[in-house]
Amino acid sequence: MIPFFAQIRRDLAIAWQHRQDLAVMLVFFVIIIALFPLAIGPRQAVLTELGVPIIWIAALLAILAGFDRLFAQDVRDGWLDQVSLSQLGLGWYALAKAVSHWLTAGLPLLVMTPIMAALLDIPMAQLPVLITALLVGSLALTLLGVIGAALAEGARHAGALLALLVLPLAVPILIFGALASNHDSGIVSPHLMLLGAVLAVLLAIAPLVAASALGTGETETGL
Amino acid sequence: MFDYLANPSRFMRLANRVLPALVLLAVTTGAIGLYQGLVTSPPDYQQGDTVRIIYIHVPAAWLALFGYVGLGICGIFYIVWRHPLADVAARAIAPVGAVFALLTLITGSLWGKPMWGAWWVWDARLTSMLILFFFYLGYIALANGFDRPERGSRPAALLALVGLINVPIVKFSVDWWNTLHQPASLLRSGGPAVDPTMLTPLVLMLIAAHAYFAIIVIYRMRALLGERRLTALLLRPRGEA
Repeated sequence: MIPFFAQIRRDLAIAWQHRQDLAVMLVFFVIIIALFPLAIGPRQAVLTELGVPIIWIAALLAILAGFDRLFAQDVRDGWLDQVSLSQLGLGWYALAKAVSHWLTAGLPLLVMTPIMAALLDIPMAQLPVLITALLVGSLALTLLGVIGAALAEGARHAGALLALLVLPLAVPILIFGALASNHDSGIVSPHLMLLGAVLAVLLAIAPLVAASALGTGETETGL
Repeated sequence: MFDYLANPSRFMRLANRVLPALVLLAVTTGAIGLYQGLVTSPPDYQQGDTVRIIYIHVPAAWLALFGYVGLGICGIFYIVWRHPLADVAARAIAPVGAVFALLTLITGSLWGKPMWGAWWVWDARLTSMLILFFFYLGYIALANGFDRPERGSRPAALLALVGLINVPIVKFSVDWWNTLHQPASLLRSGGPAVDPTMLTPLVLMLIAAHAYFAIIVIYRMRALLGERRLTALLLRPRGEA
């Protein structure tokens, strides 16, 4: 267990050194959200209806923005090889990456959500539902991004490839998340439960898939 | 059996023996199916003659899903048993399945305009087929996205496994969401709900499409294996012809 938390601490320390990246990501989130009303026009009724989906799409894009470089530095400087030989193992390493990425991306987005909701005129009563759904959804998206980053590690044009890989898989999360956020009788809804199911499945398979994919880079044959 | 077929030469010998039979099957069932479908089968009482596109649209949709399941199975064979031909088969299947998915979308669109009044609607089944098409594209991009070609085999196999979740969603999406698309009428409890005059050409076209799919995949595998052999020969050091 200790290596797992040590890995998280390492990633957080590195992220702290580049803490301006967090600001960049948050500004990215805000700008995407701001673009929609600018394009749609000041029609309040339309904006209110679109508010929740806009936040979801912005969150999706902002969370996935940094994933193409998730493993790149560690592969380049040999840390990945050390991890694969160590007690930690690639699976737990991938999970630790997911946790640290969520803490540096997903969690700040959740904190920003009430402000964004105010910008988009989403009723305050809807905030608990929205934030709960975004919590589950952001965790799921982070795990999905880890899978995508591990698969695309070492590829040419990793950024665009990552988007092509992850966005289709993210569609159920987006659909269920938006439906769960709009649920009007209580926080828990069937959609939230389905979202939780997706999270559970991703939690189970992400470490395995990432470990299998990351292990490829070391052996030259690719098998 | 799969161990027996792991040798590429053995597999290609078997495939080449099977190929003429497949061609015969595809041509006969396709010809009869098309004739029955386009000429002798009755026009639908509501839709008229435009229903005839079903004889292309439904086989294309089945094969698109079938191709993706095939990719998933190849992925399993590659990851679990490291079967040497699994990767070749998957790379052979992927573009064929992608084209069938595109064909489904296009024929569906052509059908939808006179039927529903719109080229495209965002109902569950159409959206799932579109997502499936994107999956295929992502698979092809990943498998070919590395500087060393063989490096892409494992990530692509893993992607196929992960994406396999999508296929049940497509099949049962019609039941889960209230949609415009016709509910399942072939593989449902109680047997098919389609009349024999339309069912026969449909089944014939399905068989023809499966045979056609197999033929194209065998040709592609032949080409891919030949390419690998050529690369191996070219990379051999000089003096060792």
